[in-house]
Amino acid sequence: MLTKDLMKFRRRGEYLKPVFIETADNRLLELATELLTVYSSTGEKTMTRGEIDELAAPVVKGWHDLTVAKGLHKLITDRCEYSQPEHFDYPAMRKQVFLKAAELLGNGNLSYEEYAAAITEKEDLKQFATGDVFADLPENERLSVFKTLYPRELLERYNVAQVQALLMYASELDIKVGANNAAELRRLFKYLKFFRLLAKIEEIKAPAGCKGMHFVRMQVSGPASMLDSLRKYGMQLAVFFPAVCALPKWSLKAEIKMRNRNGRLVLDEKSGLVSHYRNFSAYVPEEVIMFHRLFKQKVEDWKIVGEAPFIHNGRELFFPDLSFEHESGQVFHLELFHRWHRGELAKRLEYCSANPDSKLIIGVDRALLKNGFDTELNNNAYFSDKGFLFRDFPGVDRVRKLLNKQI
Amino acid sequence: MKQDKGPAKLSFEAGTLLLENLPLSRLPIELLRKIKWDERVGCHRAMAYLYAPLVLALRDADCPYEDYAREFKPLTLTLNTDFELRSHQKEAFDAWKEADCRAVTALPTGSGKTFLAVNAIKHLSRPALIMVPTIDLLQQWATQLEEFFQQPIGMLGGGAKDIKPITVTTYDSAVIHMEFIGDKFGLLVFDECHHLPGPVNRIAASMSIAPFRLGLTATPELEDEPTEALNEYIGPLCCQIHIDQLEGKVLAPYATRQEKVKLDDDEAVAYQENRKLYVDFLKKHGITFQQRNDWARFIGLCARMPDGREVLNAFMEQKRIARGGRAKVRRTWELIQEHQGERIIIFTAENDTAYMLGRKFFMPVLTHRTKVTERKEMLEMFRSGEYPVLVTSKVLNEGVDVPEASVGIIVSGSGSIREHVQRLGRILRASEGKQAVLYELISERTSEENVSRRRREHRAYRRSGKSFRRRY
Repeated sequence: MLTKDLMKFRRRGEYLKPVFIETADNRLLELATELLTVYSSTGEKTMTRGEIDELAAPVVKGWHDLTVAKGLHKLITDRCEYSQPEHFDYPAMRKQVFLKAAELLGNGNLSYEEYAAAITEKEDLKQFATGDVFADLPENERLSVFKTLYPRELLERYNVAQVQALLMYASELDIKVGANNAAELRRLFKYLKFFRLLAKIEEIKAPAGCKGMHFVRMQVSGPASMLDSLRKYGMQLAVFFPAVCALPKWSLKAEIKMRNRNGRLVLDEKSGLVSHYRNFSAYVPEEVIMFHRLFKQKVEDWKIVGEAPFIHNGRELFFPDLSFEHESGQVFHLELFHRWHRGELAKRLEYCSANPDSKLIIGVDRALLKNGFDTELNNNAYFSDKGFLFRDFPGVDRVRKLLNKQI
Repeated sequence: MKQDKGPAKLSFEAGTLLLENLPLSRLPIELLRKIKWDERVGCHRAMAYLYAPLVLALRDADCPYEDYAREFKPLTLTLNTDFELRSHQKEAFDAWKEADCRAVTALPTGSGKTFLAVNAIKHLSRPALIMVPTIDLLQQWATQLEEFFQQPIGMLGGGAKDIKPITVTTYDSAVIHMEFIGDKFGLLVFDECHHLPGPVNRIAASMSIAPFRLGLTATPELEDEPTEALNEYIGPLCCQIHIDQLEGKVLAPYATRQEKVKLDDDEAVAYQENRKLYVDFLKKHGITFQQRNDWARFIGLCARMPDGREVLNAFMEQKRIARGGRAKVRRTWELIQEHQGERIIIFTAENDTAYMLGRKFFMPVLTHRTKVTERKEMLEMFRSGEYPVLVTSKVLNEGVDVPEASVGIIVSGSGSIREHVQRLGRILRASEGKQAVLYELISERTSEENVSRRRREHRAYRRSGKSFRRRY
């Protein structure tokens, strides 16, 4: 993520226009290659943070636009992990040095030279104390992991990061997206849930020339966004954005509120942004992966099938979490509601009560019960027939039992 | 969600209150302004901190309501101590209770703010969350609370995530987790609550329903910080007691000594040359540092102008000389020798100077870079006297309890009054026969003279006959 000092945008009236770089520009590609080379250099020993900074500094400072070069460098450093130097157990050795120093200080007036010599000449401390006793500070850590990427990808990420940096100062996104199929939209909704955002969603008519595509409008924000211009959800909105620009058709409007620099951000797919969220699997929580695995192992007459479709209630779209197909060919969908989905659950119960033949089963996290839903759920006929409770994440047996009840 | 005609329902969701069947016409206008209709969920919504005023307003209007928001119950607590509140603590405690247990108290460092909080927790006997600015304070509060209440204390932050009825958290962690735990505590204690008004930290206060709140600070109203946020999220300042009011009674008697140190000749020449280059550049480009973005302008010009790099280096060099020249290092060594047998904290403005002194004197350095286990050990060994000297940049400015320290040496610092008062506070905890002294080393004929003048604008430094000035 780019920090405030690395943002580049222009103001055009009330609009803020991010300054994108040309991702096919040979000179920029060269700059990206040089920077990536600093981090990718192979040798017996990887370099220290200080050494890398020393190598990268002339590349960054030599570029005519320092903000761009620093921004690219920042995106690279976000992909690095460092490890501690291993020559000494530094904290333990330091302790010995400090204790010796304390002892000498308590022994009466010594000149500084006598004091220093008594420490650096002590046999068991000599090697350590004559070097840098704080050599394990971050600048001396060694690069241990670098998640590499291609120069072109780095430039593409930079452009997306410029938008993300502005979205850090937004409290709501107004987006319209068009997808070729339900699976693409569904992926977007998975990200929405994953980043704990709320949205008001409505299906809209596909514009001319986009026949066959699914279009929806979404007003995306955090639960408290409407109450206070909190920056709390800025990060969540920013990390959600690449899921938006991964779709074939999209447009976005957001009010950006920075100190003395408020403005409106308006973008669409013509901006040429390339998303790096190509695959949701990288973000699938461990418990979901585990559920898939166990379901496959334990259940023979049901299987989890591809992407669940969305359900349109005439006003809004619902996206179940999983779809199950019985060997008889019948398909049921499962939607899970966690503690932050209180409003969604209420809407879904209302919808399902009005449509008792829905092929939707409902799982409710017990954490929601305290909000008064225990009575509401007990009295809800649809939930009694097609609902169940779970803690954190549902177990395979519980789901199988309810699915079998539907056949 | 349907709005029926039943009683109002309050529930907690992600740091907010969902409000169903709200009798809007019977609520006070100032509260209505803070409540909004949320189309996404089909009911009203408000920030969680409005829980107490909302419940009181519903009660005042005789409106029935069902409370699903609160997920805490009264606790049974016993205090494991024979201590009683001292008169200044009792004054603050009574003022806080009179303010409906929702207020800020300002007491000097070392005057027993922790014990005041302990009594507040006992008085209310509700689950309590204590917010602190640093990991060192997290450990310190948890240890002290465990001793007072003889029960395990939860910790959130610095790698720990253990929620218990009494939990200590850093502000940073509270901001991240409050949307999940904001319904679990009845009392919030904000240590060093002047950290709260920032746009990020206040989330920690606004996303909790806790009806009772106690703000603790030594420096409540310094440097033009907005106090509205403290008022809104904690309550009004209900009691303020100053350092000089407690000196010699609750706090150790103290002296502040400003010492002007003459730069070595070669450093004085280098300082003047570099300073001139830097100041000429500022004049040429009309930078006065009176405007908010002047610093960004300066850095931007340094990056763009042909002589920018040279000017930036000159700026850094003159600053380095003024803050950590050789004469200051020598004088620091002399002071360490003069105060043998005492516990000394050496303060610097930035990490580089702190590590320079640590390397030179083979002494422990505590900065934000120090790993948690080593920092804990350093503090323990300093308290026990195994380490007589501790060098630090800013992390010891506030809060951390080192009662044994009696000597402070400010090698360098910012112009912040708050920082200067806090540094004095580090050495003021009273103990038998203790006479505290705070040295402030100023490089003569450098910009440090102005910086020092700015930071001494506080009544703790203006006492006649108590300050000493010396030239070297």
